[in-house]
Amino acid sequence: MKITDRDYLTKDNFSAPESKRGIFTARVVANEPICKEHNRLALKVDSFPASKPGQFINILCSTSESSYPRVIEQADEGQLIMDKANVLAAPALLRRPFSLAGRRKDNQGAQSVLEIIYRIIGSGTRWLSQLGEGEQVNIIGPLGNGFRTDFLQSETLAVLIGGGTGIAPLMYLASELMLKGQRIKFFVGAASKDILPISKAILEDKQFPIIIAAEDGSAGFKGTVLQAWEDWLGRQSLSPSGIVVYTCGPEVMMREVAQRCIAMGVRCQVSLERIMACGMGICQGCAVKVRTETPPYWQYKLTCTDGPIFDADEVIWQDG
Amino acid sequence: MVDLSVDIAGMKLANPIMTASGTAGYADELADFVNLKQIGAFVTKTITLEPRAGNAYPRVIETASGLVNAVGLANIGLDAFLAEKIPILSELGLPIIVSVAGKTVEEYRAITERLDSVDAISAVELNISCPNVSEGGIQFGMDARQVAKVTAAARQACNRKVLIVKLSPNVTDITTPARAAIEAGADAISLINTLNAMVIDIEQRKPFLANRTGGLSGPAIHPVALYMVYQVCSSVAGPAGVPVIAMGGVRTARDAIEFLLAGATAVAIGTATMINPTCLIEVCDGIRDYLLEHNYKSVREIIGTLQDD
Repeated sequence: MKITDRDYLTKDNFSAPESKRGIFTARVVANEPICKEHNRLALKVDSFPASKPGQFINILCSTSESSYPRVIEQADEGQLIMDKANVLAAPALLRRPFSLAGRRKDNQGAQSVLEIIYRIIGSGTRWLSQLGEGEQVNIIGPLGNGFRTDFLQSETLAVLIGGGTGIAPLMYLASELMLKGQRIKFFVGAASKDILPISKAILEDKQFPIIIAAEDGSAGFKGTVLQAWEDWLGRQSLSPSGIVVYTCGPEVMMREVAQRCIAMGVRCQVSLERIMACGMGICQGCAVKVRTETPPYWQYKLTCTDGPIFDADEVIWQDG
Repeated sequence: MVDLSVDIAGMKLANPIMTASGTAGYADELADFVNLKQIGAFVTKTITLEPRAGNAYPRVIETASGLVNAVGLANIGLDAFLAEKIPILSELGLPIIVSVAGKTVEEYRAITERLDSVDAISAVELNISCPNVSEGGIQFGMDARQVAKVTAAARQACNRKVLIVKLSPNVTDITTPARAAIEAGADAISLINTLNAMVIDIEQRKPFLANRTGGLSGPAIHPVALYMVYQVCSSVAGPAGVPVIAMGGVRTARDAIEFLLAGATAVAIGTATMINPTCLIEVCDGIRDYLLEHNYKSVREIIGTLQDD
């Protein structure tokens, strides 16, 4: 399945009566490189609940086995061969969380196609990269809270600032906002153009309000996405209430965006990443320190259920 | 039909599968993913008298077939638990087992006393084996005299509930604390908690977890847990007629059946629940398949039936 022009703007009319989460079997419809460093995985899922940009799915990146004697019955030859080939590599035990990078109808219009963008960094993502079209994966979702867009006025300019893999959830947000007719400005950045996880369709779409920053000068603005944003800000005369900023990327980048927004009095939401074991609020692993009104003026919240989207001014950033 | 029911010191379970403390929250977190009414019993996250924020981040890290955690008993505290979570838990219609921890022997006694009068719960499990808190926890579990003290104090306050003592595997001989707990009045023994563990970030040359060390769980620890369950069942709990609840790396029905054959009356699933919540049901179904295939009428027929040569 190839992305056609403006396909990323196809409306997903899915409207679940209630936003329930669940465990689903998904089928791979595409798993291909989107740039030198990132792959795009498209998963078709029957009756996936309503989802929002900023939410994520948790993918089981190994072949599941949990019963007796079905394990043996289910093991198919292809899988056994793969397991033998990877005999020295420990399979991923925990699910791996991925922000939704998009969601749309398939050609038949009946099912949902969920998209994620990933980089091969370990056993889980390596397993994912070996999935072929038609293969099944077990996913849990949609998880997390999603970006808040309810405070956007019709004339508000939504500024999206994404760095590297962090561009993924903002892709979903950008297409949803554009569908609603919201004005957006999408800043994306990477060290070089060829590792920027952006689809060709968007790169070639002259109408798409995107500003690309490449540190090596291989495309658009030469410098970091932060510098590109600062450069743009310097040429605008915006009132703080006229823009809302959404950001996802390396934590140092988000921290700078957050601090700049707070200084300007601009509302800003950040998408945080934390190591988590479950994604469902059970393991308590993905703790984030946030400010509170009462002593001791901070508390831990969970990235998986309270986040991953937080208001910039509530986050107490980690040192370093 | 196969009878899956088991009895733990008078507590009736429809089947031998339960959650392991700290891996199923307070139950409401899992509501969207698995029908918990189908399991044998629900074990809560460990509760302390006062709320605990838990340790700094990072708190968890995956290792080969395992998970090292140092969450530090983050929980909402007893008062909030009783007010907010007990009503939800009682809707499950299952035996509810509340895991508790304290910084002192007196705290264990006090929290047990409060829970003893709560109708909705069936048992109290003493967590004397958490490796991730600075006071209490594992300090009690690693010393048989302390195990006896904590158990006796809780026993004194526990008149209406089943008293379970959860053992730490971080000892030279697991039968020593098991014997101490039983002699001090434990109605049942559960084991094992996590194994002391750590992970080092070799680039930073620093421990990976903020707490520096943690506890290992997951499939990696299953053979170790099985060995300890076998030892406790065959040389202490079995002869004393005290039921054992086994946990440690269960992911498949095969793992659970191993525990049952070694002598455990019930089996708790922990880390695997966090990966696949329905594994609680799938493991139970798998035990049923095994019993059917081997023509057993009841799961009780296989408990502690490890064959000699």
